[in-house]
Amino acid sequence: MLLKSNDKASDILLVGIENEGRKIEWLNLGYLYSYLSVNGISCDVITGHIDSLDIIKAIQENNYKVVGFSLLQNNFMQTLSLCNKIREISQTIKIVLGNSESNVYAEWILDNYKSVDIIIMGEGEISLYNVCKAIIDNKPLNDVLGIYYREKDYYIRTPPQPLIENLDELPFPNRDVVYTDNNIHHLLGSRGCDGFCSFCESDIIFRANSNRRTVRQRSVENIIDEICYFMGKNSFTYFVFEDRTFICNSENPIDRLRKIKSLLSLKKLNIQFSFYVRAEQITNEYCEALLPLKDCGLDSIFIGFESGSEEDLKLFNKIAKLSDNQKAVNIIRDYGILDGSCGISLNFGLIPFHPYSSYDSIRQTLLFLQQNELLLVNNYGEVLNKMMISGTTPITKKLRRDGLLINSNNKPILDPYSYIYINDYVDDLHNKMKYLLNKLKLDRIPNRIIQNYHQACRYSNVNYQIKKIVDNLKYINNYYITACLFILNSHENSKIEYCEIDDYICCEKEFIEKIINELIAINNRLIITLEKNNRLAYK
Amino acid sequence: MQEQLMKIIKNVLDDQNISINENDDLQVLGVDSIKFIRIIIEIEDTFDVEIPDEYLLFSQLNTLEKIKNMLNTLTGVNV
Repeated sequence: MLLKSNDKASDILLVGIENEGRKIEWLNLGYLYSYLSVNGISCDVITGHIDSLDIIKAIQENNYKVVGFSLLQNNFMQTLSLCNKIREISQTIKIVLGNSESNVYAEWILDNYKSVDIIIMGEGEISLYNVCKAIIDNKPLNDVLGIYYREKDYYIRTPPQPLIENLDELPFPNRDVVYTDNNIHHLLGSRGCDGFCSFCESDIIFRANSNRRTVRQRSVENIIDEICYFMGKNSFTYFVFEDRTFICNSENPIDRLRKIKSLLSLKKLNIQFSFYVRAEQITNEYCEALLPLKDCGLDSIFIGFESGSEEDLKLFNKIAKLSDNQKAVNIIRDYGILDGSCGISLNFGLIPFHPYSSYDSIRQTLLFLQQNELLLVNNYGEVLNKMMISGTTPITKKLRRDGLLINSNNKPILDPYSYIYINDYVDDLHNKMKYLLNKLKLDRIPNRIIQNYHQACRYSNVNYQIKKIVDNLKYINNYYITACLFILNSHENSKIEYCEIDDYICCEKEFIEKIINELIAINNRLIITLEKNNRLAYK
Repeated sequence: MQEQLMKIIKNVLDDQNISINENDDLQVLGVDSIKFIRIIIEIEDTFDVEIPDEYLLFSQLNTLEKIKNMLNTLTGVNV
């Protein structure tokens, strides 16, 4: 898709390349586009799968002075190859890269891809604007903060660009640039994170700007203004707050929750939304402030528990200890969030499989799930989740030190699973647990049945009992976890064969399938109800 | 009524020229789970029925013939 800023010729082209059929929400390009446009630099944006994008043609037909790419792990080589092709057709156009991957591998890129002229280090808006302005005005780049730039046979890094302290000053991201799936839109209520989890890259980019705390929050008013601005031209919308810190890092998270509730109630917006919450911040008071948000559209919260093993949590550099996870579970159970009976559901993240996984660590996570009756609602992917790494994830350095990276040289990590397990049985155990999941066809369980139930109840007489739905989910859940523990224990004693898994589930398989079919039929009716009322977000 | 059903499916598939035989697997013709829901909604609106849960699995209504049989059962009218 080529989005032109207006009818007149633009100097700048921003590009986001997708691959492997995976659509990307280019919120970053939406922000950059808006920032440049508001400050008088018109730009075009082109995003999509590389096979469908004729970027070369766009560059040949337009007299762009700058082409900027958002470099990600999964478009890394395609983007750099394209940079070389662009250089073949134009010696004058300046090629600029930004985003986390280009920050981590800046010098490697500049050494190996002479076509790349400039790399934006850190938060992009101001530095990119200054780069574009300097190029348009034919000025040198040495005054632009926060960049690497090429000068003859060498490259120079300029001092860091300070972070944007007041995020409310930023224009809202252009939503025509951002890919959206149905009625779902992503929002950022803040930037930066206080978490520093070793598997997470969310804060890394801002480290190029500052060594100090990088968390900055938009005011609640500014967030609600963006929602209202957006809602002005749209009907029902589902908002996913993508920031890890929307509530978590606030000095007064409970006040912030109350303010959101107050402003959303005032506006009476036709929305649903979800956001991230951290386990160690869950208190009774927090839940008291959370529950009223249900009436404004909050339908789920996400907690990254990550593990039931204390050792894992230390490895992940989580702030939450196992006792925090347990306490959070106990509290949200009391408030009806654990099983979604209060109208707000729980999604959670786990990373049971990582380079240092062991029988014990995986067992502890499975027992944490089983003992707390945590409902697996993400196609059971939570149990099988493998840690993803890149050059930007802090844990990658440890893996390199410990010799666990598949490519131990300093080349960019393009495969997020390019590590080996310290215990070689882990891969086989993962395969067996995945086999079990596939055999039981658990990925057919509708993810959002509880949320759909509560939403449908608002608009229609729903003849289903939520307790029965939850009980059925719990039954399958418990069966799968118990079976996983059986596989794990058998694996530990003597390697379990696939046929033994078949034998284990043969008595229950048909019954599980029957329950899943019932759940699918119920969910389909709920979806029909929501669709008829124009309230279906996830399709 | 058969024509109405064909029209519903063609509209949902956004393909007026597609040829649909009674026993064609609708999934093969391009009906996914979302389009299945849209077909159900259109059928309910058009024929003023509420399709019971036991039919709300795609595998239960994945051919024109199965949809017709279901409607016959529900309405008592031979579609």
